[in-house]
Amino acid sequence: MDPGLLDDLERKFQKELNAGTVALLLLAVLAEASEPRYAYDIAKELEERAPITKLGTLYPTLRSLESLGLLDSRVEPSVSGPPRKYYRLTKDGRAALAAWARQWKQTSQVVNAVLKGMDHA
Amino acid sequence: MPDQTIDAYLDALKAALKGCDKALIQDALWDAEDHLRSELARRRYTEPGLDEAKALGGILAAYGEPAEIAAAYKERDAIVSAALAPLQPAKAPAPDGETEPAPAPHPSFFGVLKAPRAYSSLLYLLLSLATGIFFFTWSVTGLSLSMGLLVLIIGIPVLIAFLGSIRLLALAEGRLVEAMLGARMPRRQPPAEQDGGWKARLKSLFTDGRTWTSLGYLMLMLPLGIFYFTLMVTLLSLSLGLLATPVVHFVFHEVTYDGWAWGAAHQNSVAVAAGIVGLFAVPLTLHAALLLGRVQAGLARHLLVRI
Repeated sequence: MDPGLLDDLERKFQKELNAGTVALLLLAVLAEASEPRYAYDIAKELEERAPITKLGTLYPTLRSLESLGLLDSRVEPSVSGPPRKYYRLTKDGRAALAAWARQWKQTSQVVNAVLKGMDHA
Repeated sequence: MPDQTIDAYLDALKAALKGCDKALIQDALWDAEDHLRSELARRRYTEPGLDEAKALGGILAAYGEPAEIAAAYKERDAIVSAALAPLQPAKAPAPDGETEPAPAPHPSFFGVLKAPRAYSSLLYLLLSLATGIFFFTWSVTGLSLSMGLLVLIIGIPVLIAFLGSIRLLALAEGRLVEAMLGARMPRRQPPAEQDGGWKARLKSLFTDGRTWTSLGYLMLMLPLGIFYFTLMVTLLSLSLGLLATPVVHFVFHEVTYDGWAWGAAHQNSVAVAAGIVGLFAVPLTLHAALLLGRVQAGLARHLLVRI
């Protein structure tokens, strides 16, 4: 197979995989935080702890989670630079996180079990 | 110059988002600019003697290619609209059982009674007199105060504070328009120029066309508000009055026909006829509110959103 196509396929696979997991990670990071956090700060933390995606894709995901009502936000002035938007989890967001995390654990367990079989073979 | 490279990236992102919703483009550009500038500022602070061009290359790579980021915004917007779409018909099913088409469907003649957007538009139009008076007073006071004081040094900070307040008011009005008229508007302020210091920031306040179109919009809100308010109060009281006539006549026997001999002779038929006209006038009023709201949203998007 053409290596270029293989790369494209890998990128596409990664992108599709990320579509859901990035949202899950964002919710999880916000659930850990005791107070609202602003977008850049969240992006930096995910870059360090879970570098699976381009940082630029985190922002539209945050916005969409907000429009879906899973996050809410308030804008506060900052000492340096433009006002910052602080996000925190809503009640719906917490419920979604619990359900998605359960889903994720189940999926990853099943997938890992199958992949393990592949390693032994 | 790192500044130029951030600008070049933003231009590329804008080009990649060409044809998208204006407000979505503005959101995407703000996110990118905010992130890139914050990150560059942090690196400068933590690593003195930083090779900026090289650092910026890394920062841009971590943020993602413009095409990729543009695709993410387009996709996310589609997902959100798709996820929210089924909620709408569930709350207010289309009268003829059809699912409504996505781009701003206009409800059927009586279907408008069940359209929440019609009521929120009506409320916006009624409210626009109050907001219009406030915006106009604020703009004229601020403008004349700063112009008058400009001969003294104190006029300059007053003018700057005033122009800053115009941007905030424009953002607030945008949120109101999005909430009540349903047109997508910017969700946050544009990031201020961080490189180049206070001079560049000041310059952008004056050279940014949006400051001035926003000012125009805010001042225009007074005549528009008067017009909207008058029209809506007239239509609303007329249609509700007509609708209430049969109730008042048959239940309370309170309708008087001073100086209208024919009406006094045919009281029952006049009351029924008024009720029927009112039955049509109420949805007509709501349709008018929807249409005017749409015009107003178009105006707001034109004058308050800058790309």
